[in-house]
Amino acid sequence: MRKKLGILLTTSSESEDVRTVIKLSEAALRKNMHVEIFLMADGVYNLKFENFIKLSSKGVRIVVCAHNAIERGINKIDEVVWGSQWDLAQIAHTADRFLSFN
Amino acid sequence: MRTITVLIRSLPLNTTRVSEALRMGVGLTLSDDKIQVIFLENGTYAITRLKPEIINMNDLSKHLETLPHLKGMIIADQEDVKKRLINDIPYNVELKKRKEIIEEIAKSDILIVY
Repeated sequence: MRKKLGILLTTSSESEDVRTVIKLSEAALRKNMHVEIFLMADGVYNLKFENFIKLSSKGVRIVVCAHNAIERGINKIDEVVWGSQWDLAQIAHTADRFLSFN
Repeated sequence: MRTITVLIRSLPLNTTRVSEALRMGVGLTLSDDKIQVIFLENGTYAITRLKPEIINMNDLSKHLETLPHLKGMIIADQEDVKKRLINDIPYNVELKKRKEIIEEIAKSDILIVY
């Protein structure tokens, strides 16, 4: 069974955290891990960052806190799941490893 | 069941991050994990009576009141609370020594720091 890496990202694309998350996710995919990223707070701004969204086409499941996205005027895009804090609870509950970038 | 600790160290009203961390703490209870929110250093100001609406900031109290109802624990560092002369704590908060808090963190499966 594939191991799962869960990631919480709450910072926008100016933060070095975003590049770290991209590189970590790519490394985990190379190790055949399943990767799920939850975006909340300013992390939802990454929906506008092409390099980040490309992770979706590589196999990363990206879930967004819709509440935070709507309050920041971010529109839904097809590459992500429009979710809630319930999704974060599920990711944290089921991941083999969970990392947070705040 | 996993133990998930949300550690809050920053001032509650400078940004919306603390209210978001608390909202997240409430949300994390939806998976039947053990959730504990620990306040350290300037984060301890969040557990006293605040009026965030005066500066148009998000309400913290609803999360602090809800969390214990969902079996979430709220813990604060006893020394940090004392040092900041915080006497009025209207929520269900357990005050612990720094050593005990370190033990709680060490026992956690997931640590989310704000």
